[in-house]
Amino acid sequence: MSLKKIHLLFLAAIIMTAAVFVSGCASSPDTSQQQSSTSPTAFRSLDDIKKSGEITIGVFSDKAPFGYIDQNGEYQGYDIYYGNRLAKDLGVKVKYVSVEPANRVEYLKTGKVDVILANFTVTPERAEQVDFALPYMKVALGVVSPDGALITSPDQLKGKTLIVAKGTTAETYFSKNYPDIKLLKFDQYTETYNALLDGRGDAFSTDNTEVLAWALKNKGFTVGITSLGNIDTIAPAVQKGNKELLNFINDDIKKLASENFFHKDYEETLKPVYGDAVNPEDLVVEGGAVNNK
Amino acid sequence: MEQEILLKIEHLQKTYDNHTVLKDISMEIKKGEVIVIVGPSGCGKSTFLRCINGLEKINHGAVYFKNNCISDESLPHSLICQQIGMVFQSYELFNHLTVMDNITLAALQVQRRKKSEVQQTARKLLTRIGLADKENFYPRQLSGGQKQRIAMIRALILNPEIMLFDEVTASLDPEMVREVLDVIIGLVRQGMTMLIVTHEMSFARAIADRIFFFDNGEIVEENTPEQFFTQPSTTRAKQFLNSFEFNSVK
Amino acid sequence: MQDLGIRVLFDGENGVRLLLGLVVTLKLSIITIIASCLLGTLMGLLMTLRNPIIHIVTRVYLEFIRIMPQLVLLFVTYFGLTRAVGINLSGFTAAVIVFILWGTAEMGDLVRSAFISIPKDQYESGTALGFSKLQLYRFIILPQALRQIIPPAMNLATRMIMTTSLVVLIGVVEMLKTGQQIIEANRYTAPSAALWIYGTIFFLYFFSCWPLTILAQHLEKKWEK
Repeated sequence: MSLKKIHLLFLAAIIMTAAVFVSGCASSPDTSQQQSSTSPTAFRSLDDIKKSGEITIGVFSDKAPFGYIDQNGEYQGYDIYYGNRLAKDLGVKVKYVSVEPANRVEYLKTGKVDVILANFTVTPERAEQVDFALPYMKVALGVVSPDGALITSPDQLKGKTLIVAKGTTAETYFSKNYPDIKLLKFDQYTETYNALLDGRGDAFSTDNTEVLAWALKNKGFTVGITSLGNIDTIAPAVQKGNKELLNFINDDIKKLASENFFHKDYEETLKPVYGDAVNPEDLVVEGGAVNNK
Repeated sequence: MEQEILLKIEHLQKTYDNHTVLKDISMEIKKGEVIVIVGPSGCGKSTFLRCINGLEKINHGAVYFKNNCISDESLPHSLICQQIGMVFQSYELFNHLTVMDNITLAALQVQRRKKSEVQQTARKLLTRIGLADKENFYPRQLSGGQKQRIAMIRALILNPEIMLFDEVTASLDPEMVREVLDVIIGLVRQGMTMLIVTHEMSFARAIADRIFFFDNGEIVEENTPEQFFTQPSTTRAKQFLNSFEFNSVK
Repeated sequence: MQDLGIRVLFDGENGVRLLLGLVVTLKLSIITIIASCLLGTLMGLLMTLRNPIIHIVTRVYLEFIRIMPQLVLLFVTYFGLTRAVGINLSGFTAAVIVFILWGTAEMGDLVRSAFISIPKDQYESGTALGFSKLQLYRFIILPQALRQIIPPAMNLATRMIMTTSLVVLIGVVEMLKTGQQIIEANRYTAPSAALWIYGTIFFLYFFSCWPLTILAQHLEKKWEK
């Protein structure tokens, strides 16, 4: 018994050493790469990208309508629409790489992609790992309710039951700012929608993009509040320290405001899904400027 | 006594990590002789058999088979094993092979004999032990006694000059002991040279030419069966034999 | 609504893409399963030697691979190697390496335990019948060990095929991910497509693993006689 324990401890020690070794090696280039671009995980500079004639962009391949692959195997969506334009403005071809929420940061840190355009919400934690450019989209909370008893302001919810999914921003936002609204919490999204359909709650709140899309498919329900709470922005990201590329993207986004580029992007990619139910101003950020409400 | 000496063991000593299992064993076995070794558990009698056919390396002394030293590894082990057959306590047939394949595998692969001849011999041997109908059975379909009898003819088909039997009935149910011993009795009648380790005392008395009593890794007594079982010359042998006797307790 | 769902499967390149995904899944599975069997047998045999150094090295290797989730191994190999030493493997190569490391460890342990479970008597009685070491292994030990290895090895192979769906996290788009891409692309136009796509994937996985099960059953029946 004790021998087994020693055995296990021994193994744990080895694994921890290995982990420290990997993370130690991994973190050291991060600090050094600001000075030298010869470190193993160095990013490609603007010149490198232009010289190679191709930019590698990490996007989602299964998050319609932001980043997905159509029936012909082509990347499509709001993020891709901008990716294509960015490549065009750089004068290079574009190569898309399918990324997942869990590996977006790693793809940038290891220089396996030059830019991430994968519905990447700006958070302080992420900003320590990667450099965010100016935003091109924003998300806030939305509240969906039956047409018969439409909720159009949070005050209407007082004394009523609001459905939320556990661990979402909606849960934290309402319990902090509206403590007298009764919250009905579920683990999974499907449960929350079923609860709303069954009438177990008066309304349901989560990201506005999500409830807007849902309301379109479910007759008799409308998103009465389309933008509530803290506005999260979505922005392109580059490897930490890749200033040239970052500046190029920032200038590009500012410049594109003159042609109302992201509104056009919305018309092309999001409007077919959201229709007239959504005010583009609730989602689109033009020229990197978020107008706080 | 002009019979040739088949097996000669001289001052054999066997040690396991400072523990001496066999101290100084010398023995001569003539062709056609049946030697029975008895003794308490752990006296080294099984190890002695394993030293003879080379399953265990010996530390001192020598084993001669027909005047050739076989304990110095000068002869290939395979050759020795074809001359000296051995059957173990656990009936260790090869579980993935049929009875026929179990019996013929070594004859075909080691001795490179012709398949038709080997199979014919195998059938003859199977008939002799009364298991002719079992040639396509697998070991798991057989009783312990049947398996042990087949293990015997598997060794016999190689035409060994001497057979070593290591407590071949020790892990059998009592009603199966007889059928296995009968095979050995058949071999005695044929004049097979044998070295038998057993706990079956009346069987030993019936078939042995000579009895060796082992205790504590040495030969304590060598005797004729009559003398050994009626008037053993050593007290240790007497005590050992007494352990098989029961007085009425009522 | 139902026929709209099934139509997604035949829309544009979707069907071909799903099959290309299957090719990735099978290519990865077949390469790594074959390599794991060969290397695993070697490792298993090494482990049966009573060499203390080999014992410690193989034991640590096996426990390390077992404790680490495959996902972590994939991340370490694909991203970690780049960060630590600048080695930039393709996602597929990284996946092949991780799956072979994993398969070899598990297979090695199966081979080891199969050889160890064969009673000492089998070796001794074979030796006593005059078999050489090579003959002993070829005719007596290996056939018996193989019989014990086949069922758990088939199980391992099936697990490896199923686990290939993880490689999407290092950018290798295989069958399951392709399916999810198709489903998501049609999320608003044909919500029932999910059922059809997952159904198709289910059958493709099933028919990938089925031959292995058939083979295992066939061998077991043959040996059970």
